Amino acid sequence: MVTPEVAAALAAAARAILALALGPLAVGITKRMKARCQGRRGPPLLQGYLDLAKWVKKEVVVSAFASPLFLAVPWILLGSVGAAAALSPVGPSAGPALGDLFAVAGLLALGRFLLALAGLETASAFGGMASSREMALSSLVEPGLVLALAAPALAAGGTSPLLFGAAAAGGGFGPGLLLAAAGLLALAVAETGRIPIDNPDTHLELTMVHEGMLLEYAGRHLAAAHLAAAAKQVVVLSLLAALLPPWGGSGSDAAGAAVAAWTLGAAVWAAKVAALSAALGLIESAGVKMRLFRVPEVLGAAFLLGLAGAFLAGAG
Amino acid sequence: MIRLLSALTAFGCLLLLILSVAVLFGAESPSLRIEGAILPGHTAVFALDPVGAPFLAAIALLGLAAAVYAPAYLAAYRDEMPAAWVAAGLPVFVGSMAAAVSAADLLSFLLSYEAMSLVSFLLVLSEHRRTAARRAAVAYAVITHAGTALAVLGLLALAAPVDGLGWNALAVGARMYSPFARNVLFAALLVGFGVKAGLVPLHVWLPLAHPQAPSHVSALMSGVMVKVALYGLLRSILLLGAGPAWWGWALVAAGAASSVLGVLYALGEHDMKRLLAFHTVENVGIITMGLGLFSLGASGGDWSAASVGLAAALYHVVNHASFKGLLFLGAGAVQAACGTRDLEDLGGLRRRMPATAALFLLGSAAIAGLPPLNGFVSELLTFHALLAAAHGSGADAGARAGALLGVAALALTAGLAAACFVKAFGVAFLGAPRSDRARAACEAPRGMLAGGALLAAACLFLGLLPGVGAAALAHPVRAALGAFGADAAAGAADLVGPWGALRTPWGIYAPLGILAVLGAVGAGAAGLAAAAGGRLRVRIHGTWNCGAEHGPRMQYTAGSFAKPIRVIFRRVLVQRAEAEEAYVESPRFRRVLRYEEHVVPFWTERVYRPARDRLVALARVLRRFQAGPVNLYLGYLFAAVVVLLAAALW
Repeated sequence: MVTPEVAAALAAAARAILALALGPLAVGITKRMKARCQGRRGPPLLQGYLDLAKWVKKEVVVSAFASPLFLAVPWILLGSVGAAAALSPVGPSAGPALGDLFAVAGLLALGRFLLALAGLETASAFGGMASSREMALSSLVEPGLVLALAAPALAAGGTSPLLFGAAAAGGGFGPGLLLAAAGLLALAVAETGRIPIDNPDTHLELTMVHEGMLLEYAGRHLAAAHLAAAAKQVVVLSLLAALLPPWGGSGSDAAGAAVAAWTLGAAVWAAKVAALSAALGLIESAGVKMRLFRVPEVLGAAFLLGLAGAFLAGAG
Repeated sequence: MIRLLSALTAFGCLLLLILSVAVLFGAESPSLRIEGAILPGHTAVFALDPVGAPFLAAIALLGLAAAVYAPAYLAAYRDEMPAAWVAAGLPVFVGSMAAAVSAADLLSFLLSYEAMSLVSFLLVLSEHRRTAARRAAVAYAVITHAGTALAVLGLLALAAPVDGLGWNALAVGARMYSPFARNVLFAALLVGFGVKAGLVPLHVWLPLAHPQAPSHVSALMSGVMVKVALYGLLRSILLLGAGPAWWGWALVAAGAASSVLGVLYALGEHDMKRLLAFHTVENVGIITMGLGLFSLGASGGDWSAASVGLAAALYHVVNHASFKGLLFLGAGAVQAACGTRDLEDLGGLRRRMPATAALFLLGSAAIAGLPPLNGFVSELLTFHALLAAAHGSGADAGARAGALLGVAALALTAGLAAACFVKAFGVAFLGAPRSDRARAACEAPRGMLAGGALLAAACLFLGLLPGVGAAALAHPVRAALGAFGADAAAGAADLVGPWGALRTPWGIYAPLGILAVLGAVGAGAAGLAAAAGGRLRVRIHGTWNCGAEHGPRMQYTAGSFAKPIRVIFRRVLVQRAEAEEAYVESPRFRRVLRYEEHVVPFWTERVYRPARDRLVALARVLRRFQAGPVNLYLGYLFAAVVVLLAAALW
């Protein structure tokens, strides 16, 4: 029989693989929604996988200034996002985790730190600009993100994100979690690098943040970096999905329960993440990219929402 | 001679490290009693108790690394400083700090504390021919002694009502005061030790003095000397006993302000050592937050939360000593190799100094609080302690709001610290060299690298096996809680999880497992890519610069990297820009164009300098009373006699 530790390890591995495998599909949904809003048909939903396959076969050209760290960063980035997914409620979540919400935030920060260093490696102005902006904006995202995730932690009495769904479903959903979810949605736009905070479809120096750090990557490293960004979208939206109704089966201890409950949980999770990806596409189409120094205002508002949410959630 | 001194220091530090680890795991420390050396009839007692053991471990670890580092460093600076004296000062400095944390009575503590201040003053003066060093040393001496005087007054007040100078006697003495008097004493001790620790706004000496000292001394000053002040603060909290909740909140607020302001000021710096000095202010803030949460838990009776807070503070003491020491030793290696500490003149050093670059990268990732290194562990514990304060049994709305703001401050600090170290490491070590000095750098000698490697190993160990670290701290935390009663010690949370993981009442953190997942995913993906795309063949080419010729000035500088953050926080980071241009005939034929932008050191210029000027003006007014003829003084004497007679007759 499978011991609890082995089951937990398998569940963690399944979460990581699920996030990586479904990442490009989530990004495809967002792109499709954006295209429809613009009156176009849009690329096929599976275009992301075709792009990855194309990039993997391409030649790798590296700047003469880059160090061995430059070529290692995309793989470590992918590993950190995978590890964050292993700790987050990706799919029907169950079982003890290896880390809590601070570990998730810390792993995403690790990936960002290394990617920002990669931006500075090639001694180009584009990379430096992107790294500088990314670190400035992400340092403002951190407080809001931690507080918005602290709200369900206070409601649940524990900081593991796998408990969030159960806490929200079990009567913890109130004004606190609602405000935290609103804040988390705004911060999800920032973390996934979408308009109005960053533009993932451009390579103009005025408008690049995340794309700027990837500018000098080619071939399989570019594929890894894009896959990491897509998986990060799944991770962040899964965290948000755990706070929103409906909660069917996900978050409960489905490890020993019937296959039906597990399938229901998986279906509910997939539907929520797909809906949220489409929502990201709608948000992108609803406005224009903001000036860089207007973004802190939005992030400040998201921070206040997170603070209010955590305050109210802790009252219960 | 220098090698002999350094070897002896290293050996002594190794012994102290073994002693401190033994006491951490429950051994009884031997005590050293010196009769009548200081005062007749007074016995100086040095016995390491569990509360001082983590501090001694940090001191010994960093002292060992500094002693290994020193001979190679001093050889490079033989012409600028009296190397033999500096080498001799190191064991005295480390010894005085070790004596301060293992002192068992007040007088030994105060004398060791003062010896530590004096020796560090002399070491800051090492490059005494430079004006900047002399000015920094004088400012350091004045400010630190002002703070020490206040702390001494506070501690002596505790000793006044009782007979005897041991810590137990002082604790009894503290209970004899009224609550109002204890509040005053707490404030005095907080300010007194806060000056030496570097809490904002008392921190102004830190970025002045730390860069001037030799790098291994800077590492010791930043890494452990400020911790001795924090030890004094912790000891004061234990002596004063359970107090009102505002004590804890004052510490948390001071800590939060210091951490956010420290890292913001660091972002405005491009001198490597000043940047690291401001980061010390930030990390002292984080430790103070932990101490505040300990005090808060103790005043509310929530022993589990108090134990997590104290464990966070003590873990960060050792963590900070290891990664700050590593970073300072690396900065010293860069300074010795390139002759400059200015980030704007460095760049591409990883090519010339690969080992130093790797060690500095590890230190940067550790101080930025990134898993799976040690900085993340103590930040995690602090976050959990803050959540416990928000959720605890006695938490009203105000407490919840305060704790959540503390969470926000700590998260902001972590994000900004990561940004600052992307800047520091990226601008110095990556990219292209920005000056000839950077182009001509050579790798640091083996001795310097060995010192750094030791600290890097400590960072990895404390990061990957936090359960072992927590097990080491269980005894000190219980001993500290014992000052509040036996049931307090019993209520301490057990922080040790399976397989070296960390477990608190709120959650678990298993870095080995997380690292395994990270490695598996990364390696698996790389393998899949190799399977799909064939073996990796890399073509090297110059960086595309839109067709223009590429030069090192095309890169981002340290100032430009931090510019978005400086603009966002411009109300806090006051900046001044100067532009100067000179032209002949017409502005289109410019001869000179100079643009300079710098961050105004707010507290120095807007608070301390006006206060000093006002003090000097007052002194000048009072000088008139002393600058007169002899008749004036005879008049004073006469007036004094008349007043005394009148007072006696009444």
